[in-house]
Amino acid sequence: MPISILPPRRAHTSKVAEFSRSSYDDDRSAAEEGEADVDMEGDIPMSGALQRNKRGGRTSIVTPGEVVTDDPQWMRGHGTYLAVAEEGEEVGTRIVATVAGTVTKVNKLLSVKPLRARYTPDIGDLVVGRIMEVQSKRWKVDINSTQTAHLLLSSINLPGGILRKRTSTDELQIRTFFSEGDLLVAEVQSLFQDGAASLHTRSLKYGKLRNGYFVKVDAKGIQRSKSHVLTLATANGGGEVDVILGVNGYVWIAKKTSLSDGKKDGKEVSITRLEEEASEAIYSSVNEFIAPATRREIARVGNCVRALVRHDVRVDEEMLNAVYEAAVEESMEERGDADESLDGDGGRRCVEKALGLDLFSGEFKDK
Amino acid sequence: MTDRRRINGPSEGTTPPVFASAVVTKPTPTRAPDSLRKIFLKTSLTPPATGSAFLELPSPAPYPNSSTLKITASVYGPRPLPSSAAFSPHARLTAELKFAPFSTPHKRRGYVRDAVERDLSVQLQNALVKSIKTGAYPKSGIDVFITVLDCEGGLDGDDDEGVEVGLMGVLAGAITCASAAVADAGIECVDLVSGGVAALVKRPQNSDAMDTDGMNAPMLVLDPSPADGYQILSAAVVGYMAGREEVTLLWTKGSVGILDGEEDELDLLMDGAIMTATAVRLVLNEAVKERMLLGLARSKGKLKEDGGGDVAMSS
Repeated sequence: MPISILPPRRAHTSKVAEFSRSSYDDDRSAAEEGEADVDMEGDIPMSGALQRNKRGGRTSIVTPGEVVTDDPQWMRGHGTYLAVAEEGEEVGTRIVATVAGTVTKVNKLLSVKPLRARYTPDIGDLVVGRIMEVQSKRWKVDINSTQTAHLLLSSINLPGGILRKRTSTDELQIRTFFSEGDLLVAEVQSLFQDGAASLHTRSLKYGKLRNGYFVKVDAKGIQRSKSHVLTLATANGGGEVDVILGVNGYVWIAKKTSLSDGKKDGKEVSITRLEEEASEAIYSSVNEFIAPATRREIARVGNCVRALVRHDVRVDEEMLNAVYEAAVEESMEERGDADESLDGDGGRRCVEKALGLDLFSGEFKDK
Repeated sequence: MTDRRRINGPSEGTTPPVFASAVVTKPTPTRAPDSLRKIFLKTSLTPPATGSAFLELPSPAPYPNSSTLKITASVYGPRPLPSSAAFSPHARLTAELKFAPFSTPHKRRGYVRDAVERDLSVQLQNALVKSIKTGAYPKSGIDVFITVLDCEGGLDGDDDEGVEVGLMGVLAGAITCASAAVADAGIECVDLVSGGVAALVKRPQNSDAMDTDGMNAPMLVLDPSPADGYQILSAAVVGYMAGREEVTLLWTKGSVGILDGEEDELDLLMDGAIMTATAVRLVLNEAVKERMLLGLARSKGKLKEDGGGDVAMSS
């Protein structure tokens, strides 16, 4: 029999507005008053989400401890557990939610997706992290996960050539590469048994971060995509700005620097010697001079990332560019309530302009 | 020779002032014994925390500005344990309950944790830890911080008024609030825990039950408040997981025995407290769900401007 894998289906389509309206209705709260009356059986009406779906009136949002289904045909996925139910003579298993979220179905796999959760590392993820601790042969890196990630001395680019063996001198000088509080961009190389990540920076794309601005957003705000390193051409003479979107919700926005910029004589570095030439400057902790105009635009890009995440819009190159443009326009307009932090309505207007969508009604605006 | 260096008292001496004592009228209960107070519960109110919740009970009707129960909970984690900590295959849950210095009406509380706070913290931790899937988070810590902003009527009851239930109400509220915060943090838990209090009180003199044979039988009151004015004989608080029908915490006060040689007072108390907790669980579910709906509505671009209502339930 051929196996066809269906795309994941969000169960809560078009019912959200209806439910949120009905739950604040007067008659609804009256019904709640009735429900909340203590019945002597001590029973709690917790109808399964799937049953409610059959009735068709509600979204399938579940809270921890709520029975998702008692139908044995489903397999349990993330965010659920199997409980053995004994109701009278019948003994059966049922799938119970462990987090508050929406029920997602892929074929016969049932999982509950929480609204927000901590970052769980996966191999290949690009993450931005901060060094928490220096040990003799490795660093411990905070990557917004339940556990600190490890960065081994053997999985970084040592100065003086990529293929050099690590020596005891390197171990003694471990703080010259990364010390506590340093920010870095790395890739998840492998996972330990307990889910902790092991990172590596063995590429010129990765390494220490400087010349920029750190932004923390919710880990679910940054989705995995094709490229996580973007370059934006900014307005107002800000020049080019690099944006590194860590999958863990840590974002780094910095002035764009090319590797050959540091060379005084301006001679071209051959591509084969690039690694060696770069390695001396790669662990520098000294920021270059950043013009006030660039700083201003870096801060604006940071606000744009926050505004996108706050309105649950996917952060990618196209969207970020569009919102940035809208934000620049917004600041140009001499509004009475000009608010460049994009925290409130200003941020919403920019995102709406970029999307061409009214966030309140969900209707497309005519451009 | 008078002492000029100091300010002396009058040579004749004074009489200490005597204030006319305010007439203390004992409050009379306004709720039916089996009805609960309304609960206001809202999550995600402390931005830096991973999850948070706020719980408030209404002031009793005749005194609109009197103090009520107000509790905030914030949850941080699961986050890595410090490297000095010993290896633990499960998440380590720490709960810390603190009374704000201004939480009691007549006496300011100290900043240093006292024995009462330590005791409540341990009980809260016991009540919560059974609901959280600690095995899913090895080598990490989950920290729950509870701050009691206001506790109704104070905690030092007069001895002649019977058993004091203020602390029990605080603990039950803290359990409910902390569980909402844990769910808000997206931490995996097998079920939510809600707290409930019940008490056996001396039947009021004007009660209808006077003429029956059980005239001295105590009366069961759900969700008693110290401001209700009952003379409480015994009380119990439970932490209850309604979905699994499991009790995670039980604390009783006062003397309990056998009524009329058949009914066990402890059973009565526990059943009452579980009933309260079960009703509170409905509010808890709605509060957790409300936050989900808000998030979903936003992600679909359908945030309604009038959607900021609160979840309030009564019974």
